[in-house]
Amino acid sequence: MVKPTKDSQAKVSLEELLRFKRAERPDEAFWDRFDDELHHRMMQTLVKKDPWPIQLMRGLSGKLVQTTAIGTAAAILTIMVIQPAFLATTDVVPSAEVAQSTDATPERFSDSTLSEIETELLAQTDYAIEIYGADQVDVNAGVTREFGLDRIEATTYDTTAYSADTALSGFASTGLASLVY
Amino acid sequence: MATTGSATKSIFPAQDRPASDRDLDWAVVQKVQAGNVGAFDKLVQKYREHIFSVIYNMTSNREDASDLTQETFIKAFQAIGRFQGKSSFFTWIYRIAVNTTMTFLKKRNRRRYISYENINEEASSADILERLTAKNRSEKGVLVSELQEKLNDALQKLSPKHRTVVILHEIEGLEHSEIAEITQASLGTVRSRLHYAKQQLQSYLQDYVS
Repeated sequence: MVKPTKDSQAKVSLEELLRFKRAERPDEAFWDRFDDELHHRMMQTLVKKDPWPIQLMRGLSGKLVQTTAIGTAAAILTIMVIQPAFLATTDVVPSAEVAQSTDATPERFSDSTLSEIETELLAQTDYAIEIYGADQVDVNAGVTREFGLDRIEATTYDTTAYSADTALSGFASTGLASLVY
Repeated sequence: MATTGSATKSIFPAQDRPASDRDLDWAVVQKVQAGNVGAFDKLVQKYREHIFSVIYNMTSNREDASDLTQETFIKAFQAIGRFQGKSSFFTWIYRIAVNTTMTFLKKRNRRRYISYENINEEASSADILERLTAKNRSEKGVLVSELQEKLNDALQKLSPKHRTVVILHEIEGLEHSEIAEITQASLGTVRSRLHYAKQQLQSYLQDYVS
């Protein structure tokens, strides 16, 4: 080792000291790993990124398909909900008559009668017809009464009778989508 | 020292860079723009060590520096189609690196930890080390570790903008005009930042600097 003189000792400048930082360098293994990772990330970039016009077209067509699908589903649902309600009201009595014959309702649709009808229909079909009396306020709470219905037939069905495979799993449990599909 | 291809020099000061360097880079860029994705690898091999060095010295963390260097090249790759050659590829990629690191440093804020790169003793200045060893009367190995820690600490005490200028000039060997182009600051600002940064470092490192 060269014995430093006082002069040389005094001449370690900041610039020289900072140049020492140039010696902090990764080894070859680091760069091998670096290249692998970079290539991997670049490949991901190439796969993921499309030119913006394609991305835009894809986005727009996706929205179009989505909107059309939602619209179609909504239309089918509307038809399915409204149509049975009108078809099942063949013996609808005008509201004025209903008001006059309120005492007849319990006689025509007593608890036992309702139960019998329900059991009978369930045995015959894979649909269950639940008939709610006008006095069943809690059941009818969500039903508009302006049509003057004294009863509402709500149709449900046995979900097992339809293949859930044809429906989206999220909807299958409701039974609704099975009918749609 | 770990070296590959044209990136054999630890730094490439402006005066050492051949005039045709810019043209060579531009030719490679045009190949990439024409769809030769593999040509981009040439640019990676050429600049990766320099970019890593800048980012490492700005972050004092080798893992962060590795991630940010990769991010720099990915950003450059994604934007290379828009590169028109008005500036050199060299200043363009350095600018991406500096901006990426600045954004990272703003986010990192208080979560700062240090992870040093190994000192390559072969490449370090033996003359400086010998003088420092004699002056501090300490063992060379101990001195190297101590010096590394002190230098990194001192750099981290500077603001990111001052740190960038001092790293680009004193460690990377870039000219003021190049630093001005990279940092998008005026020449005066670059000189002023460099002067202030060196004053600060001088006081932080007074035990080592005469």
